[in-house]
Amino acid sequence: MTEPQLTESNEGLDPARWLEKYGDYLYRYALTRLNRAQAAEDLVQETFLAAFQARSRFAQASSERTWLVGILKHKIVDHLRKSQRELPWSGIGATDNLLDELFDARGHWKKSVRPAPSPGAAFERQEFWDTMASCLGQLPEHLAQAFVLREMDEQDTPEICKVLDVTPTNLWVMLHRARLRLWKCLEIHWFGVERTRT
Amino acid sequence: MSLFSCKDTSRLLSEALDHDVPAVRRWAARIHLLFCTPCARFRRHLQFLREAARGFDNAASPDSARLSGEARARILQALKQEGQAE
Repeated sequence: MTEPQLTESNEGLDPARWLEKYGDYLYRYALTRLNRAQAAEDLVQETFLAAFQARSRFAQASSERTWLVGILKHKIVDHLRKSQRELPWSGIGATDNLLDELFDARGHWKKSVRPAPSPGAAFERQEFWDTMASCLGQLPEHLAQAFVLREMDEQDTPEICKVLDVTPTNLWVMLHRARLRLWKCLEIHWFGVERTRT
Repeated sequence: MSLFSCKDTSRLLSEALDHDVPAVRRWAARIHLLFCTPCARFRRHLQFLREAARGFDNAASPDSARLSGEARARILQALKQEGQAE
């Protein structure tokens, strides 16, 4: 999608138009990363306010959406960093029940869950993205945060460790657990369904 | 060098996406992958997940989540107040 080129002056950056044009996108962006509607709404509001205050510094060279997303990104990271301190955190746990579901005592894939060949062309299907959203929403919160920062936002692992206040070893375990869960969820709700269809 | 199980190999494949894993472990997994189709498939699934994650923001359906009318009104109100305060 191409953004219309901006020709208006800074006074033309109209908050009501912003909200109309970018509100839903920013909300989805925040909701994906926080999985909490209230927090996502609050951060969208803070983003628009911060953007309004800083509107004279908006470089016309970048698109408005990119600029707004940049502000929101910082707010999300701040929010995550603070929430790690506020929320009681039970740690990641030494064992993961999912591993016993997937692997037998010798560490081999169980027959019922073996990875199947992945069909291509999923990305062109809207249903795929809906399934992906639902699988992300089912992840335990701290695993989802780790996965989103790493795989969607492409942050370096030392940076994520700081935000989530975990050691590198813990983060690697969390990311592995998140990926296993997402893979299994897609296996059941997407790949599995697709195979029976074809 | 001990032989890697599927459990070890899947963990290493995941970790390799996040940091440099020691060569000994990398080689153990490589040997395992030569003989294990499910693990080779799992590796492709991990890559698939990564691509799906990176494409997610722009592909997610606009209908999957929208600001509620209340939130919209609240934000607009806050922006108006901000504008008047200046």
